Amino acid sequence: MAEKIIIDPITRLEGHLAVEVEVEGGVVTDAKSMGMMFRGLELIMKDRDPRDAVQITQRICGVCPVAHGTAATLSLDNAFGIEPPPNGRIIRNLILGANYVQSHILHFFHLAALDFVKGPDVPPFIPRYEGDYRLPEAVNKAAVDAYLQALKVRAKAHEMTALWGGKMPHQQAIVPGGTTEVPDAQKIIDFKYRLKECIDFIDNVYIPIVYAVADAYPDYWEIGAGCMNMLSYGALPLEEGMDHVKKEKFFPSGIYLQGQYKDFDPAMIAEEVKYSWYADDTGGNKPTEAVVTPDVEKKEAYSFVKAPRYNGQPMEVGPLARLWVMKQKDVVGLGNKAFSTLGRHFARAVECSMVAHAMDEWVGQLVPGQPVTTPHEIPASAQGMGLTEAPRGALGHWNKIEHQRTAVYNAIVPTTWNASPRDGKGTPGPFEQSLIGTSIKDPANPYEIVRIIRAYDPCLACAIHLMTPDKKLISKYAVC
Amino acid sequence: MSKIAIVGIGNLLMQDEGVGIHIINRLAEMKCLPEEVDLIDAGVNSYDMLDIFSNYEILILIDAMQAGGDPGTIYRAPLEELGLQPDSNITSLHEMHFVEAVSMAKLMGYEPEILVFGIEPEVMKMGMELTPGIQSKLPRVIELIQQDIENIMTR
Repeated sequence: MAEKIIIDPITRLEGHLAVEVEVEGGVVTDAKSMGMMFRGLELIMKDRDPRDAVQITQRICGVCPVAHGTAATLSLDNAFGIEPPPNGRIIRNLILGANYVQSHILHFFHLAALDFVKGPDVPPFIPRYEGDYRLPEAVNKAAVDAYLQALKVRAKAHEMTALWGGKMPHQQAIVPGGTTEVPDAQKIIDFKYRLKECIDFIDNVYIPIVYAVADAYPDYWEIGAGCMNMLSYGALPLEEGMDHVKKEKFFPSGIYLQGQYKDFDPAMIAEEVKYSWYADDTGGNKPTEAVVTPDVEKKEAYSFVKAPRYNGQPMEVGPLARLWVMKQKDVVGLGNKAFSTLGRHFARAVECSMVAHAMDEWVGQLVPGQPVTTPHEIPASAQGMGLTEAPRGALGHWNKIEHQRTAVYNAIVPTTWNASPRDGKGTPGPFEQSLIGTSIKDPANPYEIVRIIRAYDPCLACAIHLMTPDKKLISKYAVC
Repeated sequence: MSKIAIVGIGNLLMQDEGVGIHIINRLAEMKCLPEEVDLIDAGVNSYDMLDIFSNYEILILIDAMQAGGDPGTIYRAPLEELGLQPDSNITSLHEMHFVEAVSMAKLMGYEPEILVFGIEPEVMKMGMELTPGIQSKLPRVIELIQQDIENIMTR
């Protein structure tokens, strides 16, 4: 008899990512990935100054403001027909690159590692799913000790973003045409000094712990394969040029689809909504023609997440996709084992080191005294597409400008790809495919499921940060 | 002298949920606070608040708070008395509530004194405007915060 396990049950009011799996004979036979996406963003954007998008979209989410600011700016650059001078391009790369370093460290040590490393029996390490902690005691202790060190290193990376980004947490420096912050010798020194500390930690603590986890949990090279289609929009441009797809970037644009490497063509992106709580189930909407009318009564629908597809196929996005598409030797060297829970953690750690080392080179390319921005005018009407890579995967913003005001705005966030529900043809999304077929040892402690999902570094539940205190306690604190 | 900050939390895109940010913006315009008090718009950044909890000794947090009162009800309480618990089994970084950040800061050896102002929201839908009922409470919240800051400064 099939048993249902629901993790982080979704309510339709508060935004949580949830997965519901059916287990029969100890194996997952069906999986549904559910979530609440922000809805009606375009209603807020409509008729505003198009440049407001840079600040407003940073409010979508508490972990990816830098990536949203980047994508929004790129879509405006594209619509305005401008691009930053080299200094502006490099400072943008340093802001986003530092964000990768802090995000990857935070994700591994403070979210995912605790699925494999047994923490002390105090919050925030408990409660946890029990039953499968296998690291040798000394390694486990080293990993727990690194937890606090990681918090401090993450703070350094955050300061690196703030050095160029101005007011944090909502950076103000990335603007159409470039950046507002100008390079000087002191900032360059401050950046390099912090970066060195980050690199030491990544190469000597983070990566060795990932290897130790892989040694103790080798079965996770086989668990959670997913759709095995990889998508990278590409990010961190290394040269000037108006064509985002073609210009040389640290992470190239590309596709790995059904076993074949292909060039990336943004026109192949469409969003389907047959199983999502939105009106109109025709499917195949282009990003600038997005369906956004919620329909919570819709039959068969089970998620607020849409189902983006590339050439009709589900795609995985994130560090593994980026490194697989760029044919990074350590990741591609794993062969098909890379498409796994451990493969995702491994790719993220390798990428963290790569970006950190690359930034050390980039910061040296800044030329104090040279311009950081290109002047611009808002066109009467235009259309823009801003493609980049958030730490957790491909991020795209699309805008349409009419009468110098925003007429249409749409964002497809990374987890929309990874956590997508079934599409019009009934093909499950990457999370769902990763879960189906997985053996579950103990339905009361379904650690396999959380390990699989967390390895993707999902993001969704970002819209609301409401305090919900104990109501019996609170009445006495009401003031007038 | 202790380092003091007033921190607004919330989503500016979800109407009354963003009340904390609206109050921070209003306080910034009014320029009514002593210079040594920092105003921070923390938005929906929960984990990054770790840097705030480890940098200040006294904090006033302002957020929307669903505690069962009528919309617009103002609550004022020390954080530890609210009974907020860190979430278990967090799947996504985005679900990290600031309560987790407070417990992380404690692990790092920081224990700031935190006073919370909560405002019972009315509507939390996509939109950047507060509902009129909540908007009308802003002067009172600001007055209460000013009193607290005065008390803190004269300790």
